[in-house]
Amino acid sequence: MALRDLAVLGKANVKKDAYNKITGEAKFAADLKFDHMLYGGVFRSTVPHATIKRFDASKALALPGVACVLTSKDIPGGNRIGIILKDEPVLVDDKIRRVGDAIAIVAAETQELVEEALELMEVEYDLLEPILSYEDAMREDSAKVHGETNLHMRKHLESGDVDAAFAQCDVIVEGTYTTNMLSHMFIEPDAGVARIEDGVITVYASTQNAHFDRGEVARTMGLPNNKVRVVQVTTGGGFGGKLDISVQCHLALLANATGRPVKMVRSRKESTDVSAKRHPMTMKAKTGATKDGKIQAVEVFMTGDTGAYASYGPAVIVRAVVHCMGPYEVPNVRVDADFVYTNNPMCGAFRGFGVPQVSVCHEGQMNALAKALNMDPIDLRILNAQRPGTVLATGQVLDEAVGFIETLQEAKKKAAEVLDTCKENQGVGVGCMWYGVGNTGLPNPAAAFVEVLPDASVNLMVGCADIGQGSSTVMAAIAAEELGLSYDDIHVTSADTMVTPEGGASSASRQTFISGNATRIACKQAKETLAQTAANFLNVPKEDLIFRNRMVYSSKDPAIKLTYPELMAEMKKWGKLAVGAGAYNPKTTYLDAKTMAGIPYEIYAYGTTIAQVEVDTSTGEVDVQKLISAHDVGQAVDREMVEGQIEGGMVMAQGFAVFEKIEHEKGKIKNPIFSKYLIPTAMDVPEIYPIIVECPGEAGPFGAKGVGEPALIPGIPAITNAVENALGQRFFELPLMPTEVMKKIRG
Amino acid sequence: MKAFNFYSPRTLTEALDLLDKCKSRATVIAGGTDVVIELTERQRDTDCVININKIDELRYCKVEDGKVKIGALTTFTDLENNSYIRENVKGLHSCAAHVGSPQIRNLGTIGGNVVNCSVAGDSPTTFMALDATVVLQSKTGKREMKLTDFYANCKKTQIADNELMTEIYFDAPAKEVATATMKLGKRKALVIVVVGLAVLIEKDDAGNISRAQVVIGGVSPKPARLPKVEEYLVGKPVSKCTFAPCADLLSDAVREMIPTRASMPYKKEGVKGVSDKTFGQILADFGLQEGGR
Amino acid sequence: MDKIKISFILNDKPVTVETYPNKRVVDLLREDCECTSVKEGCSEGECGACTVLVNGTPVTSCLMLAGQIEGDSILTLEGLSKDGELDKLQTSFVEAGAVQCGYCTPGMVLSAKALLMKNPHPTHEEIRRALSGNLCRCTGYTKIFKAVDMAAGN
Repeated sequence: MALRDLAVLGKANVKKDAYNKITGEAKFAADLKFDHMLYGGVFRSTVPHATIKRFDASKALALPGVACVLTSKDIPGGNRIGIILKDEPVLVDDKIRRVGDAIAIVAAETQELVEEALELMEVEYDLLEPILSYEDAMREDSAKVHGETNLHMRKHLESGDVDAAFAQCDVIVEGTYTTNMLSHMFIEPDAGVARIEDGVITVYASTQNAHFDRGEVARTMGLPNNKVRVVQVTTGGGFGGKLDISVQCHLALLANATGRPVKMVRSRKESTDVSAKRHPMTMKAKTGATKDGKIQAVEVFMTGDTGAYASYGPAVIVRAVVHCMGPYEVPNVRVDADFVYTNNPMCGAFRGFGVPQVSVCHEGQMNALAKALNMDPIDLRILNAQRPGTVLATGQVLDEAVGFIETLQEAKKKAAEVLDTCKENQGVGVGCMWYGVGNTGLPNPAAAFVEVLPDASVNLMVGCADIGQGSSTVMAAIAAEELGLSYDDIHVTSADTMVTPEGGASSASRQTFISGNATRIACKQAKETLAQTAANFLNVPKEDLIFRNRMVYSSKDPAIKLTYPELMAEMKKWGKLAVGAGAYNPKTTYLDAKTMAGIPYEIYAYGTTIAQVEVDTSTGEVDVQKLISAHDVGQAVDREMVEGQIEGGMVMAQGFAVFEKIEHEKGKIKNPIFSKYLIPTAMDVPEIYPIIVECPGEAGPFGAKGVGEPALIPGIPAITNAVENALGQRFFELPLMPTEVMKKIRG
Repeated sequence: MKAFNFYSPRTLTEALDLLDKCKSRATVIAGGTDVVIELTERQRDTDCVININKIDELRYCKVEDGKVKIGALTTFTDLENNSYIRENVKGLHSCAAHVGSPQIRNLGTIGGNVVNCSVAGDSPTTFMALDATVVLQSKTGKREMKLTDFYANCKKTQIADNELMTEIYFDAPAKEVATATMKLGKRKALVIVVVGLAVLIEKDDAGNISRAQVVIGGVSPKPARLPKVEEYLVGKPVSKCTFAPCADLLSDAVREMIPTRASMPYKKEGVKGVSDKTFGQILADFGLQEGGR
Repeated sequence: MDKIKISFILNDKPVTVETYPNKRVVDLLREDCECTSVKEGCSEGECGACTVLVNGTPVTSCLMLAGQIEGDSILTLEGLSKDGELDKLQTSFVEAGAVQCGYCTPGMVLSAKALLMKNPHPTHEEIRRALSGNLCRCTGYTKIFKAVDMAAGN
């Protein structure tokens, strides 16, 4: 581990958004108000698969106060949107593919009138056969959701000689694991406002990716990108659920049609019904090892249902395939994956992009293997752990920034200190994960602009949306570290397409790494001018200069120095401006179409969770008591925020493992509200022990990786394995609801 | 929310007058925890909403003539904080303390909970175990009926359009009486009841059970007394041994009540755990043995 | 539908609002009184984002009709800081790192405030129970507990 002498990073700073939020001044989309503002709403399908025989909005239009009703015919530009594939209509034209498809939109003077107008709209359907499962979808004669086939995507990864390796194995374990559809349940339902100003359509939205939204709105409206402005307003959580277009295109259409500002705020039910869900997946795995416990081969076949539209489905399948053998050295790997289209709710991005699902599989397999070999589960994992120099199934060779073993060791050490399992129905389980930072085998750049102002304060402009995770705080700390200023000197403007450059999505745990590197590059560029000016003034080579703690000084003689204000005065004297623009694209390659060989990610994060649970065998309730979670984050930019990610991730893991499940029937979600879809409350949460492991490497800004998704993942298998340990029974399907646990206990 | 006129009477007389005028077109609101959701979702057509929440005379909890009398506007928080209830009616105290969340307990009233009687309603199960009586008042008079009758033979309750429930009362538990309530949910707060159990046990001088009132909730649309379990208990000594078979009796009862429901297999098992814990608390209340959680 | 006049104390100041009765308290506060710190997350009293204090008691303002607060004293997050000085809870939430997306924060702080007004030094269990009607999806609650502990001087 490189020793780093950092002035700003690694401490706890006050989050950039904290004061606005704690006083209630922060404006979320639903809080915005403009003169003459209208309210908007969406008329949605109630059936999963149909064509529209008749749609009649005349009664709604006759209602005084209704400004307009728009259908697909009123779209000036293109009518297909989607993050990866453009397969979702803004407003239904050819047919309905899911419950909740948007048929028409309305704008009216009040929210009350919007609701009344929606009740007055009439529709008649010609029903089509609904496709509601993987099996349905793959039947040759079944109805097709899109085009000629329901196979949304098929992936194959192969390395080594899997069959030969299995033939040599002393131990083989097999299992089929199932995870269910889940909902993000961010507390702020999707919302936005659009208005037209100076010939530009501005959309203020609760979103994780303003720049993507801009492109979708522009295409829908038939406008150039620079005639659309998307501003990400304070966003009440996302977790991947605010990466798809929600209200943005509908709002732009309504504002354009009426010439007035329009606001849309989704109800909780509407938000859950139509935002993307976590893919339910089934994973059939076979793992073979020598009698000493060295894994020789892994084979996985997985299926997933992406629902009516692709959303981030292609990213989920690719990431799931690359990660499904777990953070281990496996010389022979074969993975096949099929994702299908159905008429079920759309599935897309949700914290982890398929890795949480496959972690249940690979860690279930590791537990089974440990049992079969009668080995300690941690020793088995250490024996097989990825380490510097490991060759991955994709052929990539890992560099030195691999801190997996350290996470296992640190978690084990803490467990010895804090776990207390003396009761019969208590259990302890281990769960591990690895996570490639950024998009899989694809370019995914981000950029930053920086300007050091005459008083040595700094304007930093990044495209990256801060949805509460703290990216603006991270960028400010990185800029301060690079420029040698203090954290408070940096003002961050983020995710406003007329002000900030492209940042890409706040997803894939990528912003600290990618926007962070872009920020650092921008600062280096600005620093170049500063350094030249300082070098001239101080008469030292510019390479000898150190920028730190609001000073510039010679590394040879710290007495040769300038304060930042002095430096800026010198800049002014010579007519120099300290500006920088930086862009960073991770060093990845496209993956081979046949074998998926290549470099899917530049860097990987690692994590280990150890869980302690107690099961009430008379009711089947699982009490998650303690979670120790150690994460290799490269370099913690802000320790308190890293802990916050781990704690939040662990509680979401608890929800995934024991509480949460979207129930749907005939394509309709039965539990879209908080009283029916249960997330952990303050009464449920365990004691959490976050541990930060730092294995920096050279790729990230000052060695930083990412932690947003890694914070969730290992908690899920750890809890599952702890319940297995408590009951001596294996579980293959999540969540471990009391009903399921009771079935195992009582048979 | 659809349009309606709003009235906020300050006295019971005023409220009954209004109710008499509007009858079926009126919606009575107290805590609002059920009604406002229906209004927001536009599920309820109503000409006028009568807010009775400001009628202070209906917010009390007192012991009078050997009865515990609870005004309809008493909130769950009021009951939770009432020292008499806490010490003498442990089943009701535990019930009140575990409803929804602090915010819901602050808003929700006993009257609303009893009159709306949703499947997941917490307090009706407990009140039925206490063999409580509801007091119904209209402009023309006052009538009383046992909670069991209040819920019998009808879709919701026996309350008439022009009536308000003003009070619920039950016999003040004597020293020989113990009560307990327990519910099974899926998490520790904001719980929706999967199975609820409320029990009242009275013992005689010899330590034998002289009266048993056992009520199950969350299984049928309304809570149900379980005579078979009660008959089994009466005459037997108060002891862990006596109570142990109740788990199986309750399990049988669940199976009989909902033979075909998908939730039956779990409820019939889960109720056993609830039984052990509830009767454990009865023992604890009698000072005989440590109860469950 | 007849308009109604509602008089109440909002953040220590008497106010009278004339509005339609088919509004909830959350609508009244957000639309008629500019108190947009009061958030709506579920409209069914489950998430607690719309929590305000009515006479010192936390309630979910999405479950109350506007007319029901006649004569009551309402506290929203806007009224928590006094003369520009933040409440101890507000500074402790910031210092403890208890704020992430911020949508649950106003309701969470008010539930904590109600607790500390009644019980200045609550136990860990009492803190959990007092916050059990406020859902948070970001923080895992841990730093929120810490913030309340800090404010209580525990």
